[in-house]
Amino acid sequence: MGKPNDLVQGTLDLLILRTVSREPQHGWAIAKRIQQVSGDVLQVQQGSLYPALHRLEQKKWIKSKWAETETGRQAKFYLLTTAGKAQLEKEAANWSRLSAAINLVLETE
Amino acid sequence: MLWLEGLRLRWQSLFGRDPAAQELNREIQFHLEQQISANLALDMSPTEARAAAMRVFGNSTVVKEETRETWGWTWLEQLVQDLQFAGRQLRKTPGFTATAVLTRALGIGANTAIFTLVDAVMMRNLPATDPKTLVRIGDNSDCCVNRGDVDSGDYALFSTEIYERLKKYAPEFEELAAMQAGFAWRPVVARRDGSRENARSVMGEFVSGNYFQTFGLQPTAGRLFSDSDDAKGAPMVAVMSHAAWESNYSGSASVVGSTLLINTKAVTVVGIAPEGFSGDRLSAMPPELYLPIETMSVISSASYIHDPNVSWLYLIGRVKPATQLRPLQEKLGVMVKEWLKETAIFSNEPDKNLPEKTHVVLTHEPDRGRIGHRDSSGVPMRSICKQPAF
Repeated sequence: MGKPNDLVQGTLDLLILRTVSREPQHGWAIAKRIQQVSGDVLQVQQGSLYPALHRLEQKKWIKSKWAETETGRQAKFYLLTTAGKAQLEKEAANWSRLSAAINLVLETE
Repeated sequence: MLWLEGLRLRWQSLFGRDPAAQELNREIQFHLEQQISANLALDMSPTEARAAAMRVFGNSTVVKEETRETWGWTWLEQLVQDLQFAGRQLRKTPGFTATAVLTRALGIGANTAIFTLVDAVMMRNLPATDPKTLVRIGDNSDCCVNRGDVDSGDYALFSTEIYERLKKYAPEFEELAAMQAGFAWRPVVARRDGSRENARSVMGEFVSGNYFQTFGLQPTAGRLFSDSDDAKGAPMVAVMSHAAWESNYSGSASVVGSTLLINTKAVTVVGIAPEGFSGDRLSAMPPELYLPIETMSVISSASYIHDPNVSWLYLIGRVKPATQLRPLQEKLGVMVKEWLKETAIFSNEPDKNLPEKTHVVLTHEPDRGRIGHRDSSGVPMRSICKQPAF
């Protein structure tokens, strides 16, 4: 099973950007959602998640705010910035190109 | 577990007060609690749920540290930690610490004191106009009244006759002033005429009439010397230093024009030198009175002031703009050598020749550096000129 550490460098950033692009999410929900959507294949370790979140925030691709969860708890929510949206598009395009290229190599007899 | 509590407090002192770190703690705490409630929903016991959550999360300290590293100022925390470690080590060894601190303190104190002195004595220029164009002919402290030649061949002490000939034949100098080399060994006794003050032995320096003009100085009160004060038969006059005027006469205006009895001779104080001017050289006892050279034979009963065989004057001149010092130095050296040959001590002894090395050195450092001692390029003149050029 692919641990985030094994992922291609930068792929975790792409996953996080994609996950918070739909709606503001807190760290736990981001990890949970990546796991669910990927059919339990991708499990994001906390040891990678929080450094990545703070790094993305430093780069101003995401921003954070404290808000209440559905259960009334205070949590730190992350949401995509305009710069982050551009970055997401760029990285998504890169990923498509890369995976298509790898597929081509694998499928060619 | 007192030490544990202490450890916790110290930990907090480094990270606890930092709002960003607290926020990170809260964020991670929230994550753990979410994980625990998720585990509870899977019918785990509370203890199990907690343990499982911790297991999944891993080492939260490492996570926090790695996250903080992304903030980009871990180096500061490490510096704080290093400093605290150093502090603890020092506290463990008070004897060593005290020695080290004292050594540093003494070192810093001594440095400060020495620099203050050097700054006061060497770095600050005389209150003279454009000190860069002032040069002294001669670079040593030969003193005070000499006859004959100098073994080293390096001349700094001159006769009145040579001074006057240099003034005439070295047009490179806008002004060339002469001053008594050994005034410190020949104090004068002064008392204000008509007052009941005691006579005091004070430093009095005999100088040429253009002395103050050469330095470009303006009087605090009254006037300074002119060439006519330094002429034979002129009325005897004196200029008082600002420091002496302040300390002996409280800066009283009545001093100017009053009469001093100097070595019992009546001398009129015509003016006060500018504040901060403490003579042409570095001296522990700067002159209180300046007197014209011509009056020296009367005031100090000096028989030698016009004796061509006696050297007793230092010379400081102001060169004209754009004067090349090295050619001037060579020219002056040749002139001095020729004129020395004419003096009795050599002309009466045909066998005795002036050594070939006879020369003068131009310097911006009159008798151990008081006048601005750097040329325009910032290189000490001494290092340029102090070469056996002759």
